[in-house]
Amino acid sequence: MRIFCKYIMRTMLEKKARLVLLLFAITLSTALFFASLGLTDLIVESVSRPIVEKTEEHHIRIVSETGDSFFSADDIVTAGIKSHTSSIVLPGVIQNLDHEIVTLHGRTWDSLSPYTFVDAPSEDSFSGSSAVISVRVAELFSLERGDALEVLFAGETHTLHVSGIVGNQGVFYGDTNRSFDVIVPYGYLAETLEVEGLYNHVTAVMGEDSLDASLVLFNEMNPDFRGIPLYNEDFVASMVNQQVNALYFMLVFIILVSGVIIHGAFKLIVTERRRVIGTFLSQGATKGTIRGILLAEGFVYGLVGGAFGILLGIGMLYVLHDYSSPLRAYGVVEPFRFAGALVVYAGLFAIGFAMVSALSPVIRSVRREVKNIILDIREPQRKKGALLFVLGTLLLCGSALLSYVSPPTAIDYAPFVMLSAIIGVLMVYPRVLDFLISLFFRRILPVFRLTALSIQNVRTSAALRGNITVIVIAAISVVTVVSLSSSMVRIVTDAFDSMRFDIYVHNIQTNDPGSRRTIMDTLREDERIVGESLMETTSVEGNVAGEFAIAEGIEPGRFDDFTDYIDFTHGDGNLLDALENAEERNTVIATTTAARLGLDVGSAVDLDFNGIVQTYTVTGIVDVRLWNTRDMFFVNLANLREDHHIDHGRIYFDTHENPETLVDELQDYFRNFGGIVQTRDEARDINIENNRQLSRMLSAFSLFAIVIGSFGALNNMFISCLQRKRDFAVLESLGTHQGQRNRILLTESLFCVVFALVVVVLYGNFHARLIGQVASFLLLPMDITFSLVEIFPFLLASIAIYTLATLPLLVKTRNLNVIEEMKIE
Amino acid sequence: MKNDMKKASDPCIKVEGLKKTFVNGTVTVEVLKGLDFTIAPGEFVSIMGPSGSGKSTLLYLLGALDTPTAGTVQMNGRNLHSMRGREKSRLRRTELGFVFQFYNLVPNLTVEENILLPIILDGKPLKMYKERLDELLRIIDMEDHRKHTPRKLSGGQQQRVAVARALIFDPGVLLLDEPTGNLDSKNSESLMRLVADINKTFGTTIVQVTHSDTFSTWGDRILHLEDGMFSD
Ligand SMILES: Nc1ncnc2c1ncn2[C@@H]1O[C@H](COP(=O)(O)OP(=O)(O)OP(=O)(O)O)[C@@H](O)[C@H]1O
Ligand SMILES: [Mg+2]
Repeated sequence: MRIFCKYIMRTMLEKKARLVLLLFAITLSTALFFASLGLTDLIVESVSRPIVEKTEEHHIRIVSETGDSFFSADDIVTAGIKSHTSSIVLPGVIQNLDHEIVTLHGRTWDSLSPYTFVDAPSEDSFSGSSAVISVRVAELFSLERGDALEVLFAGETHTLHVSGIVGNQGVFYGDTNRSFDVIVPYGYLAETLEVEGLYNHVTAVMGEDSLDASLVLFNEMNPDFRGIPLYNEDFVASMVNQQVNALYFMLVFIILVSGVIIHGAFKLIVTERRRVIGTFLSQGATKGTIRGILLAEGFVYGLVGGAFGILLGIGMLYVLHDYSSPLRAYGVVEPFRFAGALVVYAGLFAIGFAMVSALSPVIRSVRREVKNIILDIREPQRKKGALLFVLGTLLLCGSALLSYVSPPTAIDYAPFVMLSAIIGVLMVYPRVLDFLISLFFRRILPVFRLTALSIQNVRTSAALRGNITVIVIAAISVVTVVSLSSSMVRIVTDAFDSMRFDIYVHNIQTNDPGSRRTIMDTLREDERIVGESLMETTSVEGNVAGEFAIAEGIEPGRFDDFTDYIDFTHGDGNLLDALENAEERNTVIATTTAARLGLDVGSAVDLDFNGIVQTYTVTGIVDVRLWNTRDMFFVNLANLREDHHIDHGRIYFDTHENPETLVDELQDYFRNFGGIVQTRDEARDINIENNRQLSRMLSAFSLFAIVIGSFGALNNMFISCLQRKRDFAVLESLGTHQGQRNRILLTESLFCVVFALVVVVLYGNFHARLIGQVASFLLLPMDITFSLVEIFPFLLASIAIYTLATLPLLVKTRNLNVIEEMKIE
Repeated sequence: MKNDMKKASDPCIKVEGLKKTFVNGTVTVEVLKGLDFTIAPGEFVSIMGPSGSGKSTLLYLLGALDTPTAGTVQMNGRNLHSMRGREKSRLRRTELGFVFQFYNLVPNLTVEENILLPIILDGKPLKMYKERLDELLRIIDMEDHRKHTPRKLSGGQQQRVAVARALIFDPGVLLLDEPTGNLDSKNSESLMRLVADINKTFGTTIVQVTHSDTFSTWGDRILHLEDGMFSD
């Protein structure tokens, strides 16, 4: 059989266009697969690298079991940890530059030993109100030793003097021109805050192999202290995962399009070779060997396309990596790394994908009786169309039934339901097309003759029908992205419209009750502000049952009036009433949280925020919609302040004046605290913009689907034209001219794309519902509506793209040689 | 013989100094090396010759499907190869009929529609051709199959439909390239009888390429093509 292999090798390279298309489809699918796989790690890495650096590779934070934020570190037993660093960490705002946010670290001279000074300061110079800054900050603000920094912290402005400049290591790693870190002598901060001998930030290097083991050991040996993870890797990962899941979802469309293309290409491959296959069979080859060799061909395509795909994927990741490095503007880009296993996964994917897509044509290639293959005799075909139609109808009806009758089940299996609906559509439409054409062909023939003939061609040419499939999938991906994006915008808009406030202040950089009280008093006294409209909330991230969770601290009496977005009414009462008394430590939780953590009304739950654990009672469960998609706990703001020592937050209020002018004036005041002031419209627009990023990524994917799709479609058009060359030659001999032939080809393309779009539009409403259910599956419960108006520009664009793709075909068929075509091979 | 009289009138096809050369890269094949001949209206001519001698090439040149390297082909006094594309298409549609070895019918169209295809492409009202259609269906003995698609027909039947399709516009000239090449002897004979009938009833000029000694004698004249030249 070596000869057959040789023959295949030669033919593989012979048809260049097809080779390129096959490799293109496999390459792009593999690249996107690879990039999607790598993206999670990449983003987690790019977010956590600076954290690892900034924490000086400490993993454990040690807090006092008593819940005091300042405590003595003297009695810490070094078990489960290697070494620990104690310091005071405080937020502050620079007053004499441009209100940059600073983090002050009160430390001892010894703890500075890992840092490299650009000059050689002595221990003596590190005393009193002296400050060590990074080279980057020194350069950004042209600071030198001896220069003064006016810093507002602990409610007052203090003057620090630069006494040392060090490299951008450790805590200085993430310094930017908006916020940076400063190390000051411990003694100075402790004295200013009157907390001598006490610390609020104690971190340690883990002593065991794993973080968990280290924590268990430490906590066992230190009854007065508690070790907690310094930062939450799961949190970063879970944030990223949701977006990456959406990408996987879009990847399905690309894989579908590519699969259809590869499948089509292989169909053609085996048709073209049927005589050769017959010859080889007549020479004693078995069906198994023929199949094996054809599949091996798929393997080779997978291997080569996979290799290109991995390279392209690495390229994509590299660009994304560069793009996602937080300190890119300062020339700091994290080293580019990806797990070697990804290469293996992507390689296996490419090969498996190519072989699976090729499987059915390959199996069918030698299904006929050997004698019939050799003589190239067609066996009466089973009515496959009807069977497909029935199966497709079942799939469609099944998914519709599930989706409409039992939404919760549909959501559990949403991706499968959607996939089977799409596959159902793809299986059903050919029969419908067949039926429609046979119904109308004879009626339109006398009037629109060429049009009728062209449409008839679509019915007979498998390649052209393959085009419809490709266009349908690509168009569904567009519908998905457009509907999803516009729904996200609508949801954000709705959420903001449901909140009653004119102005919003957030990002306040002080965790000190004094400063907070001063701010609130100032606002209360301001006559331009509606006093009773002032409302505070606080969101903090923490741990519940080892999972990442969010506490939303609210004013129970005010919050329900503040927003309609979440419906807290429960019977005659209101769920938030139970939070009124902060002493009781009650919490209202999100429906999804209750389900995930197995909590119910009455359950007790330990909430760990800011390293302080308190037991709360669940008094209500509420659908928070998209307020926050993580695990959510509404608690009384006072609980967060008193029990967990969290004093920063957001402030909302109404004004009697024009919000925009007031925002400008207030911004100056809040700059002192690092706070950002926005009108509702601004806040909404920024929020929408943040959401757009995801839709942009998704759009990129659907663009890929369209690009692969139009290449595939062009290829199919060529194939169908090649297969019908002789028919065209006959038409030529019957007196058609080039203009008529072009009209036929154009009408065919146009009909394919229009028919495909009609299919998608008809399916659109159901699809929108399914997208909504997939979104719920991805924990983004939202209503998706299908709007023809929104889709319309994309429909027109698709028609234009696919019609344009026909043009090369017209050029190519210009010099049709009738004699050549009429020759008998 | 009867062609004595026809030869007196103007020739239907007049070929002068016809040369055809194919250039394939560096290889030049001189297929037709300067042919001169005329065919009278209503004449039935068979072209014979070994494989590769240029028979098909010649037929395609007569049918305005290809352009000569040198020389001219005139049909009813008009030079085919000085015509513009559309004119040629019109000529092929209305004055010439072509039948190939493979029947080449459009699969999903009925027998009727296949025969009417040139009219469909031309844009003339189909009704005008109803009688012509019925007549042709009768001649090719396919009246009972008019609504059938080609799939259900035998090779011989399909080829007869192809002949009818070539005749729908009542062209003056019918060109056939090995029309019986794919048929068994019984079907071949009935097709040739059909062609001879057409020649008689409509007075259509027939030029056929054939390998069959028997069928070549059915016509008025045999042209032997060998090595790009006629041999006698
Ligand atoms: N497009 C082409 N390019 C190059 N050579 C060609 C081309 N078409 C035909 N030929 C050559 O011209 C010669 C005559 O071909 P033609 O098809 O006319 O032969 P034929 O007499 O019809 O043969 P057959 O009886 O086998 O059908 C052959 O040698 C063939 O190889
Ligand atoms: Mg020939």
